[in-house]
Amino acid sequence: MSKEVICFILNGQKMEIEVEPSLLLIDMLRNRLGLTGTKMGCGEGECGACTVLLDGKTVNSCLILARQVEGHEVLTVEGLGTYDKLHPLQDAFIAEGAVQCGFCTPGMLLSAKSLLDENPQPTRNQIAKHISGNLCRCTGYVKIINAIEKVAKSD
Amino acid sequence: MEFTYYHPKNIQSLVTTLSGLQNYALLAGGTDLLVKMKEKLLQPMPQAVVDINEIGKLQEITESEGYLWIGPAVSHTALTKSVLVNEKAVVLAEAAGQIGSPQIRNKGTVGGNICNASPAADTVPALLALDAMVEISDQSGRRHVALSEVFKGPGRTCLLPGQFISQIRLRTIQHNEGAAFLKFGKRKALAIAMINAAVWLKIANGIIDDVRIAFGSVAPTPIRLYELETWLIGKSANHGVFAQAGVKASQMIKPIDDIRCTADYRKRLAQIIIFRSLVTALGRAQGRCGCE
Amino acid sequence: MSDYRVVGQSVRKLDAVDKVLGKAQFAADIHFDGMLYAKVFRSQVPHGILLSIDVSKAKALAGVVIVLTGKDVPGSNSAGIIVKDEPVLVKINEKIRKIGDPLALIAAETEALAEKALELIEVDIEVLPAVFDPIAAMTDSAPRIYADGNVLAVRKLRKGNIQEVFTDCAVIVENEYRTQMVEHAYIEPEAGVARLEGDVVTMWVATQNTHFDAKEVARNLKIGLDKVRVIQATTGGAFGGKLDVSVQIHLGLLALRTRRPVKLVYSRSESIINSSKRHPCIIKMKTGADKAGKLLAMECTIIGDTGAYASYGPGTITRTAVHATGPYEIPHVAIDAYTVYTNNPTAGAMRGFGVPQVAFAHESQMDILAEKLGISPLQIRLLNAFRPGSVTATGAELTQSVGIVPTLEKTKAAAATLIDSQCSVMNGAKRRGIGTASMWYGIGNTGLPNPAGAYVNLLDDGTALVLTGCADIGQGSSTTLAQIVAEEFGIDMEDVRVVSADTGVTPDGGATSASRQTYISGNAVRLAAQEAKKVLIETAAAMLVVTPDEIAVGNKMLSVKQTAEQSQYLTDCQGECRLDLGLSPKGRGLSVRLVDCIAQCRSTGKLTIGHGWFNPDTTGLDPETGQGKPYATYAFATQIAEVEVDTESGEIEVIRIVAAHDVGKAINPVNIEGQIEGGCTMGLGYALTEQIQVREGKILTKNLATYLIPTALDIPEVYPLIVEEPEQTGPFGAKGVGEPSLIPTAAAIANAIYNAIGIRFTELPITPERVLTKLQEIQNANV
Repeated sequence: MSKEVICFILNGQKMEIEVEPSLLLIDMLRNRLGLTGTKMGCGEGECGACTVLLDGKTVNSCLILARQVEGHEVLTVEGLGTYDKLHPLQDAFIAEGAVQCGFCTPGMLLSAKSLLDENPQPTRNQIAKHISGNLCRCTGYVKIINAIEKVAKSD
Repeated sequence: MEFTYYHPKNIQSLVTTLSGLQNYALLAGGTDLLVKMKEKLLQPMPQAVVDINEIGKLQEITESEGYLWIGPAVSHTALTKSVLVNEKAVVLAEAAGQIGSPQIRNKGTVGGNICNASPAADTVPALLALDAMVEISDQSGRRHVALSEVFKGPGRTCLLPGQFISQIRLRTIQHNEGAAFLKFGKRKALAIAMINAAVWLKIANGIIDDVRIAFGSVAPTPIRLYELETWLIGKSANHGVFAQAGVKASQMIKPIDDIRCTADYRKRLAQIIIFRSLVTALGRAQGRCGCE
Repeated sequence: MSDYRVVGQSVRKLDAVDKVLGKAQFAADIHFDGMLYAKVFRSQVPHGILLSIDVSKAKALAGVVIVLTGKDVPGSNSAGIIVKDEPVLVKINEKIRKIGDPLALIAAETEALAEKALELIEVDIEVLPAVFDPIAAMTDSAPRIYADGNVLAVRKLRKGNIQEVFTDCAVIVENEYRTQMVEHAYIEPEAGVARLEGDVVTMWVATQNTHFDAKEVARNLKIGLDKVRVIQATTGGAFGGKLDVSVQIHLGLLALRTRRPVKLVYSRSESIINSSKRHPCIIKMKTGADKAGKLLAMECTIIGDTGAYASYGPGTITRTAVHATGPYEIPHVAIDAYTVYTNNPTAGAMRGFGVPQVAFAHESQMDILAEKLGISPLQIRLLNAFRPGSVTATGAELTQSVGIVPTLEKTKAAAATLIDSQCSVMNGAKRRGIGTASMWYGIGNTGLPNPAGAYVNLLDDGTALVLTGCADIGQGSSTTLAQIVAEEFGIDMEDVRVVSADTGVTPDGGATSASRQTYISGNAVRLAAQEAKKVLIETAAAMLVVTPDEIAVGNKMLSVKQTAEQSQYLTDCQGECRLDLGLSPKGRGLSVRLVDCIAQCRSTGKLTIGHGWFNPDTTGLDPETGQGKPYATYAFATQIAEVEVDTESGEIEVIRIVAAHDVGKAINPVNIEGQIEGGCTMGLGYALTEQIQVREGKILTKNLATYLIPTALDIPEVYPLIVEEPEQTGPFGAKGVGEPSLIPTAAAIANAIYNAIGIRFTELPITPERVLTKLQEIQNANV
């Protein structure tokens, strides 16, 4: 298998990395780039724990070849906020009690961000639909939807 | 998984690439292909993956007299958002909008949905109801095949090595016509259909002038129910007729038991799905919003 | 709302920042240089003898570092929660008892190579006849899974004189209820990383009980317990499924043999196939009441399919027996509960531990009885519900903290405004209905000692370090424990750090299960804090020249307690008494700052550290009668569900759930709401969509595409209500809520479905298909 260097934007920064064709996006992020915020829950696109933003849209990174992001923009949870400056969604998740085990949280946050970027004033049902590809087993989704709604209303 | 990766930038390049490959897989959204490759369900495993996402021509949606032309690499999300699709073939946008999850819809494509050839594919009944035709291209040129002729069995299409779907053509919904799509899944997202169906009606003076009925998940492939269509043509477009149509539909299909539900339940659902979708289609044909 | 400064406040969780930043280290996130990747080779046969195994080709694959089989396990080669019946690696000529039993262990330079090596292993297994039905397994002619037979345990409860009393009952209801096998489906699959640190086998794993893991590892590696260190990595949900050993012993073996770091991560299907499940149960329940509706007698037989290995089986099935009456007084009781082996996947601990199963039964029975007697579901429950002074079926008296009646009243009141439908509402094909279900749940291990210990260290600067064995699996226990310590010392949440679930550092906290940690580790932590506090108080008393019992701790100060009169006096004579200098009439000051008090301790050679451990006050259960005091405290709850049934498709939508839970004391209200909301959602899945389908011991629903848990579009509106009936022996009055939140939901939904369409379902899950089949039957019968 021949490796190729790909160039893309990762969390706002230019990134160049050599990848083999079969490398999955999630594995490139987690294993090659040390960005373990994106989680593997099922490997089949059924849980959304691996959600990242590709050109602003949510995708399951377990079903994308790393090679495919050449020339595109990728946003992971690491690109959302920092200890010193949490993204409003991150702060709202904490404040509203939307974080229990935390495994679905990175994917949820990115789904939430892509929703609010596209639709700043979603209804609760629209929020639920937008995170319907992110499974959570702990929270029952209520406080996650509350947190997203809170950020939407504060803008 | 080990393979070489190609990403042709135009159709000619795609044709050339495919003609030189023995054992390849076309990569559109990847939401089915990558799962199959990880589970080692493809025998033999593809030695090459040909990514068609950089070919702009395959992502176009255009209109000509009475038809919409949709590129195979158009994502389900793009279908749900397309002004053209929503205006002229809303039933396809509705079907695409019920696939999987937002993440899956953002990558999954209508061409992929067809070529994956699951009997439960959601866009296919809607396309069949709109009398879809696919343009199959390869080295030797292009030919047109009715979508209903494309499916050969679960997971199998008529496409030969070197061939790909270059366009999907469907009839736009005209005045006095209406279409509807319904799906029954075991939950409200990330659900493979237990049964899905789409209907298209053309009404003239309260009579069913023409109709198309398509089902998924009741046979080895998505199917048109020609016998039922014939029965409906010429009848009054009313709830009584639609109810009878539902009963007939449930008698005509021969579904199987599977991990999601039994054949028996599918037959029962078939009855309701036909009734409800015909009612909605009628409402749309008559210019009102679809109501139950 | 709360009398306390920190306890009772919805403070932010300690681990939340790391989690939202994606920085929290789950086991699969951990990386070490030179790390190997492990895979497990497993049996595809449910019952057999391993005749031979050839790993030579796997070993020869370049990049494979080691392949281990049963002969390479130095120690006992057995693991298990209650019975050590699970093989670590099945040995030659020994038994395989379920699909998934581990036969070989590979470590390779990459995950891909390890996977490739799996395909190169060849086995020869003598297939034995298997048994997959628990009732069949109980017969003499069934294949024996173990030499002693297939009935692992029987729990009996006998009270009063049941046969005589049934003849006195005005109404008797007898039914058989069946519940399905269910999967935990935590979003994080099992994972762990291990390496040698010096001569200590150290591992970071997803787990609910580090100390149990360490014992299993040590015994199987045949090394001292002091040479094993198990650290809980941030764990992505557990719900009882991460109590059994999964990766731990395998990792320990490989780390020890290769002397390199090793990582083992399960795929989703590996997780579903190999982790324990909820016991499918067959419950025959016969309940009798007098004409007023007072329950007189219950006879019940429960058969629980525990699968190939015991896991928590006997504990779960004991719970089914102990809780079978529901939160009601029934003076005459005869219950027999069987834990039965089959060659099905192992059943073990799953949120609720057998009680969701019997709750489905007893709450259905209550509604059926009520209808026969012409009284309402609420009335029959109020009539029979436990109150302080009630005696349970095991003869235990509930003296205090019995909140079942407040939960009944509170849900009723809330439902009156929130739920606008009463009985069946006609709306075309759709029918609405409401249903009620109540529950009780004993906190802690049933009739067994299960202590937890803790250390608390108040540091020089007034911050505190808490060392607790309690594994936080996302429910927020570390935050709760920090709140308790902050409250005790009068400091802020920002001043407390919790180190948890690390056998190298923390004492044993017991399992995070049985909804026991707030109560038991909470008490341990509180006792430890109080021990440290004692030193502070004595020192402060000396500084302020008062007696220790005159000292109050709070607001980072230690102060002389004042009565209302004293306060008034001091205010009145402010000018004269030099109070502007903060001096008491004795001239020594009213308070000292916490940090100054600590400094004073240090200057007199005193450390402000404390240790504490707590074990609930219980007794064992008599083996013949089940009499005893199995728990020191119980949680109670009532949930009301509103459903809408589409009578054409059979589809059920849950519109609203009102859930009132008696938690004793809500130490962190928003986290308790989160538990209730999460529990209701899991309960909804249990009621309607979740089922592990097994055929001949093989799981067919082995991924998340076929095992369907609720998505964000499937949830109802949930109204969590907190009821506080303080538990005298609990920390600040607290009990527990983790499992109670799930227990009554399916029963409430089933009762609501009956209310909507008049059909009683005695089997879970209640799928649209089953609903429609029943509706058609009735339609056909009426034609």
